[in-house]
Amino acid sequence: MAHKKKILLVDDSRTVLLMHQLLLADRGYELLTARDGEEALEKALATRPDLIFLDVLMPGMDGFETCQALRAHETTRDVPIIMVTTSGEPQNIQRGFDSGCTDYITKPFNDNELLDKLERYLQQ
Amino acid sequence: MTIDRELIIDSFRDETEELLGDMEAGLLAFEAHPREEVLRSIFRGAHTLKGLALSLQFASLSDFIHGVEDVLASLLERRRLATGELVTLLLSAVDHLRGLVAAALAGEEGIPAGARRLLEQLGTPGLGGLVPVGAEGVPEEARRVRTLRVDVEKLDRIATLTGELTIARGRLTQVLAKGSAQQARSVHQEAERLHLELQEEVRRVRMVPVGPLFRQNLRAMRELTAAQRKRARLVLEGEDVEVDTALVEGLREPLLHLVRNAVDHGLETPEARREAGKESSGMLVLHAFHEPGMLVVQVSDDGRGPRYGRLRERARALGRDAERMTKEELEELVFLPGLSTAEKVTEVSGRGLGMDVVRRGVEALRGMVTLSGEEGKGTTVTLRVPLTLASIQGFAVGVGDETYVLPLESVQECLELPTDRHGQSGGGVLNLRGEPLPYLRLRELFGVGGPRPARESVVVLGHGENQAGLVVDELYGKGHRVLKPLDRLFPHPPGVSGSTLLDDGRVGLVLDVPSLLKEALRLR
Repeated sequence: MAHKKKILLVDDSRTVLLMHQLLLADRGYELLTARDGEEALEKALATRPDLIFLDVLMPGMDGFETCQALRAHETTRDVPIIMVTTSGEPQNIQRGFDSGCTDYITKPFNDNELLDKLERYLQQ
Repeated sequence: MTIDRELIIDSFRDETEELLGDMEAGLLAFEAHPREEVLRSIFRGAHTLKGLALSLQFASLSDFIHGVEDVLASLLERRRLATGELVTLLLSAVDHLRGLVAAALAGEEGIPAGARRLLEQLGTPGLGGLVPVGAEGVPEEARRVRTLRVDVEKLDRIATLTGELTIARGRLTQVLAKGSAQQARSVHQEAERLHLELQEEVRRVRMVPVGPLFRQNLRAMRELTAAQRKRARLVLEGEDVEVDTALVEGLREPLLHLVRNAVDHGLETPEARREAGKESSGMLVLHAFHEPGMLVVQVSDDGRGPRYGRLRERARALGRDAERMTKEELEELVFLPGLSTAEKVTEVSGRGLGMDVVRRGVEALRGMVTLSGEEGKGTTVTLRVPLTLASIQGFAVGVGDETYVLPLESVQECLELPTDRHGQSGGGVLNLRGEPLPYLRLRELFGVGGPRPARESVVVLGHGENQAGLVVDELYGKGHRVLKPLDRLFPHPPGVSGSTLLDDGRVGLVLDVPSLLKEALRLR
C-alpha cells in the first residue's frame, strides 16, 4: 500500500484546525497541525508534507512570510501550498500568489471546493 | 446537532471566551502604552473571531465583528486616532460581542439595538457616551460546559502512571493467589507509591495560573477610578502562581469586592493625595504567592489606611474595652457585619460595606482573610486559601460509631478532657495554660447515641483569632482525604462543609471549623 499522504494544516485558531481535521478525518490522510508560522516551518521541514493549508493572519510570521520561507527551502520548494484567506479580501489573494502559494480558498470554505482542490493537487 | 458540530461549537465557545478576554486585556494595555504590536494582536483576535462566526454561519455576530474589525483596521492604518473614548467604545464592543456569542450559541439571531447604536458610534468620528450592555437584555448565557485546557504532557504522565498501576494491580492479584505475604507487601507498597504519584499528577492538572483572575480587575479599576475622578494604577505580581481551578471561581467575587473597596474608600482624590504629600496617582497591588499548602493573595493600596480612632469608637459602641485593644484587634472589627447604615460603616471602617461578605466568601473556600494597615499610608488585605478544594489533609476523630474529619490546618493540639468534666453534658470552658478555652461536645452537636467512653479527648481548633475545643471519644489521626460535596438535595447541616469516603468505605462528614467556633463562642 502506498504511504498515507501527509497534509499540514496551519492556523492560529484551534477551532478552525478542528473543523479541517473533522472534514478530512477518515479519508486516509495523515494530518499534521501547526498554530503559527514558525511551527509550520519546523514541521514542514521535518516531515515534508504532501500539501499545506496555510492561514494568512497569524501571530509572529504571517502566512505570506511563512510561504516565502517554505519556498526558499529545498525540501518544501515544490509542496503545494493552499492559502486560506477570509472572503472579501482580494488584496490578500494577490499577495498570496506573490509569496509563492499554489492556490487559495476563502473562509468560510465550501467543503466540496476544499476537497476538490486537495485531491487535484495531491494527484499532481 | 451532529457530533462534529457539537465538538466545533464547544471549541468555539472556549476559543471565543479566550479571544475576547485577550482583546479586552489588549485594549487596556494599548490604552496604557499604545504600541502597534498590541493593536495588531487585537486586530488578529477580531479577525479570527470573524472567520469563526462566518464558518459557523452566525450572521449577526460576524456582521458586528466586521464593524469592529474595520475600526481596528483604520487605527492600524493610522486613518484614525486611538482616543480614550474610542478605546472605551471598543471595550464596550467586547461586552456586546460576549452577548452576541451567547445569543448565537442559544440560536438567536439579530443585533440588539444597543449594539447597533455602538456600531454607529464606532463609525462616527465625533464620539458619544458609553452604551451600557444588557439594556435590551443580553440573552441568558447559553449552556455552560465547564472546561479546562490541559497541557498534553501532564495527561501523558497520568496515562503512563495509570498503565503502571494497572500492571501493579495485576501483579498483586497474582501474588495474592500464589505468592508469599512478603511479596504481596512489596507489590502493594509499589502500587501505593504509584497511586500517590497519580494523585499528585491529577491534582496538578487542576492547577491554573492566577493571572487571568487578576487581569479581570483591570477593567473594574479603570471604570471605578474614572467614575470617581481618582487616579490609580493596578500592579499585578505573581501572575504565574498556580491554584486549583475551582478556587479561581470562588476568589473572583471577593477580589473584585476588595478592589472596589480600595478604590472607593482607600484611595484618595488626586487633590487630597497631594495635600498629604503623596503622588497624585495612587497604586493598587494584587500580589499572589505560595505558602506551604496555601495560596496567599494580597490586595494593597497606598490610600488613607484604616482609621483607628473610628474603629476604637466602634469597639466602645460594641461594649468592648476599647482602650486596651491592640491594633490587630481593632483591625479585626472591620469584618463584623455592618452597623445600621452604610454611610456609618464607610466612615468607621474606611473599607466600605461588606468586608463580612468577603470573609464569608473566603471562608466558603476554607480560607482566611485579615486586614492590616497604617493610618494615612495604606491598607493590605490578605487572603489565605488552601491550594485545592478537591482534597484536604484531614484529622479524623470518632464519636460513638461515627467518624468525623477536621481540616488538619485548623487542629492546633489535642489533650485529654480533665476527669472532673467526664460524663457531664453540654459545653463549658477549660483552662488551657491559664487561658479560657470554650468547648463543645461533638456527641451532642450531632445527637450521636451510645455509651460514653471512660476517657474523652479535646481537639483544640483555631481559625483566625478564634480558638475552641471539641470533645470527642477517639482520635484517629491525620491522613489525606478526597472531598465529596454533599448532594444539593441534601443541604449542609450546620457545622458540616462536605463529606469524604473513609478507609472502611463508609461516608464521614467533614466539619466546618469556622461555624463550630462561632457556636462555641456563642455558648460561652
